Amino acid sequence: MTKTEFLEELNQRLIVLTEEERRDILDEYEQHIDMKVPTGMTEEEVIASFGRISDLAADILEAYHVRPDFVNEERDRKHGGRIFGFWKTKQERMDRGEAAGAGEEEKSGLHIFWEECGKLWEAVMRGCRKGWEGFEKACGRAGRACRRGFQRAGELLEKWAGRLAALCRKPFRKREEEETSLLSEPVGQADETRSREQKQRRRKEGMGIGRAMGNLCRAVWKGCLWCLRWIWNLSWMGAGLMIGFVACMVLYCMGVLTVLLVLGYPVTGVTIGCLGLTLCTVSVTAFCFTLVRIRKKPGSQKHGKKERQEKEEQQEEAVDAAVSDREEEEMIHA
Amino acid sequence: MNAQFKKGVLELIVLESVRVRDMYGYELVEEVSKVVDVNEGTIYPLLKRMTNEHYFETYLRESTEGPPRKYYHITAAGILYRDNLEKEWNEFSRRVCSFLEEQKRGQR
Repeated sequence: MTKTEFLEELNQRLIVLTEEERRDILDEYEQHIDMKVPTGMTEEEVIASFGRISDLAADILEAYHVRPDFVNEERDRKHGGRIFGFWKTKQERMDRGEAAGAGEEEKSGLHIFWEECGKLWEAVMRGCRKGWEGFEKACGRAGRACRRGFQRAGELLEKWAGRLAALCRKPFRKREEEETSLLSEPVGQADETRSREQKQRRRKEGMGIGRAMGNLCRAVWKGCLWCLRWIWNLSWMGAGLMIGFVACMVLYCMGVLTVLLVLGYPVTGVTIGCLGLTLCTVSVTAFCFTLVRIRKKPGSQKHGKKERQEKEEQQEEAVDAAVSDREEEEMIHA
Repeated sequence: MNAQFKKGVLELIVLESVRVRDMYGYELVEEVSKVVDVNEGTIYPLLKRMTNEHYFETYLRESTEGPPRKYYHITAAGILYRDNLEKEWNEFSRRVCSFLEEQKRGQR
């Protein structure tokens, strides 16, 4: 190893020291080597007589009360170590001389490490928060979609049930109509009004069955929902009550332990543990009760839906009436 | 010579050398090497540490050949520390010697 190599290596190992101090020490060694060479030794021999550079550097750093292993980390940081890769970018930023660069250079490695830790923690927290918000939003959307889907399915079921009922009744109705028309043909105006009344009544009956089936479906659906809600509520209430009971027990234990602690028994650890358990059980109980869903009062949204349903029914009725009127007219023409 | 022995007395030798007259690094290393056979590289860290602990002061003086040399000058704290070390060393060596003598006499 030549003199320049040796000095460069030593400089790297003492990188944690200020420029001035490093210069001071390196000058001493340089002078020593320069003065040793005329006595007949080669540079290599002189440097070999110093022993291992790492030991030498450790000796020098000890004079400043600096841990040598800390210096290794610092060196890695300043020269892009493999393990502390992310520090390299920071150093590069500093080298480029950004606004705060000059001030930051004075900071020790530990400061920078803590700063990085803080940044990492912040990033993780931000990520968690964002993730949770997304999850919540997705859950809400899925829940809404499910509810809407069920409602639509229920409506469709109702509608089809009504139509089916109407279809079933059609043949009977036709035959009756034929009979009445046969009967009423020779009779005058009064009979016509009577037959119209009959038809209206029949129409109402048909609609009544459709509506009844729709109502049945709706009732079953509501019953299911009601059952589910109560199963959910009861299970959470039960869990909450049980854990609440445990919480009471633990609280009692803690009270006893506190008294013992005041009397001088060595139960500090157990008491603290009991305190933790109390807080834990109480919070779990509270959590259980927050999950219990009480039936909401019918809001404006639901109201609107009901109105819409009614409107649809009315429309259907009108269409049915029109259809049967046309049939009737055809009959009369025939 | 045992490295641990050397380490203990090195400070005393360096302090005593500088007390007699101000010396620069290389000169001091040569002086110490006359007394104990020591790795010359390790004396500079020792000088650095003792300077940091205010037992030495340093100043630069031009030399006829080469760059200016850094001279070491002992401070009052350094002298006090040297006297203390000397006392300890004497006590220590006296005890070790008397112990060795006793053992020898016992064996006879």
